[in-house]
Amino acid sequence: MNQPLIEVTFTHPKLSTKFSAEVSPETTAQMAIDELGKAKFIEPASAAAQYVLVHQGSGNTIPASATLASAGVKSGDTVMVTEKSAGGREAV
Amino acid sequence: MDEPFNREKLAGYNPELLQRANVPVIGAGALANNLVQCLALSGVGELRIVDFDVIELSNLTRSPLFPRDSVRGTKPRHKARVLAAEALKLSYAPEPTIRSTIGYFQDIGFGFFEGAGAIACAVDSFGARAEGSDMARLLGVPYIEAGFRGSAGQLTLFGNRNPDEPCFRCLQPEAVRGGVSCALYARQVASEGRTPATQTVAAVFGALAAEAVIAAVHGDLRLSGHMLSLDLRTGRSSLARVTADPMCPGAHRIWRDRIEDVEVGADDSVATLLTKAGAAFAEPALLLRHPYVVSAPCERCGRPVSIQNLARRLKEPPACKSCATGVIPAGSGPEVLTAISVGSPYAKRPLSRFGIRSRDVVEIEDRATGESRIVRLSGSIEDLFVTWMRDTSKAGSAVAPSSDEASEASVETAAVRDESASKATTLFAHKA
Repeated sequence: MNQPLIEVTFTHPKLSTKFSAEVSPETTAQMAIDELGKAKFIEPASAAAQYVLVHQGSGNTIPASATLASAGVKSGDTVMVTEKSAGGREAV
Repeated sequence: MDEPFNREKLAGYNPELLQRANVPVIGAGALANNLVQCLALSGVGELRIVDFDVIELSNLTRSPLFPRDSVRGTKPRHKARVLAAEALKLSYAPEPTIRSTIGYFQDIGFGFFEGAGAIACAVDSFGARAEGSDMARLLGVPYIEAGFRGSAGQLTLFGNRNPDEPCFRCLQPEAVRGGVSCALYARQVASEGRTPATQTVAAVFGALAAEAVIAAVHGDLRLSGHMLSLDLRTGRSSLARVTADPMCPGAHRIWRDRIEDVEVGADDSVATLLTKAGAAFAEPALLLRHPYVVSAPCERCGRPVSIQNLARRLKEPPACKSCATGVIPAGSGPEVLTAISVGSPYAKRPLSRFGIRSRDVVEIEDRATGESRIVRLSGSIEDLFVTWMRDTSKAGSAVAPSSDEASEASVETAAVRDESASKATTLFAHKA
């Protein structure tokens, strides 16, 4: 039996824009980041900046391989997309 | 009575504790300049600085410790050296010791971190930050790292008190391990152009990192396992708890209480180490900290080419001495060495050939049982640094960049990255 989709609101890492999505319980944080990039809500992750999802309700980061559901995200919850910056020059 | 730290004492600083503290700083760029400035003024007794890079004019506007004349003349000056010299001038520690080394911290080894009260990472590569995180976790030393882009940045602190705590790789498991992909990463950064950076953001995150270091030295790890995000222009901030990832590829082990000293130096051979430290093992093998590329595909024909000067990174793809252009064989890629056993042809080579240096810490595994020993090599940390002290302008010995850096060739590693498309399209639907 299919599990119900989760309605999630994602917040942009820099702007005050939001992105609402219906997410399968099987969707991992990395899948969600990829999809938000494809939808052009965020710039694609790069060597200079990558993304980490934070469940606003708990204040916890969601590991890339973890599903949003396993991280406690429920319908109506907000997930913050935070940017992790690398900085400016070549690799050390 | 007026004294240097009377206000800091009121804020909870213990100047005697800070004088005894030893803080290795990875990187000597903008973030490190501001971080080191704070630590030197706050009286941290020993700072160790590593960076491979030289100063450019465009660095000066975000680097308060680089004098204007750093870029005069034709000979480039190394960031680590200049930062160390200026930090010594600035320091309010009663007896400051500033050590610097030119190169990659991964090639300096664990000796760089010996005796550290906290480790600060101020580099702009996710891979390097992840490697620093692994080394700090193995040593059980608090690790503070920060990064910024434009008007925003982040700071994380990992206390490393127990192996199960979250680490940097729990946040960013995609950060490359080892050096095989570093050249690819560097090209990617270059292709993306220069990252926006300002002194205001470097100063704020340098100060935040310095305060986290000072707190850790005082045993205050309240920020441990947290990621602070702040945008200076909008004022938006968040403090998130980092969740430990059960799938994390990082080092979730602590060696600290298992380290045994062994009378083997970095110039001794791998076989000598295995004989002395692995005598109780049936099949002892040295586990290398990084994979070393032993062969890579020819850039023209794709056939494997042996790399005579083993390297953990290749700047240029190798080429056959004579080859016909043809179809690149499917599945070809770099072959890497991750462990050396007694019978290996590499066992006769000196440990230094594999980036193992004085006072380094290595793992020897019994391939028969899976048991392992963690041993620290002999030697002096003075072999690793130029040391700057107030009474003597210079003591110790310089470390030249390893020959690996000079002879690196590049290898395309895109094939080894898992770029498989996700099935997310069926799992994620935008709701208008």
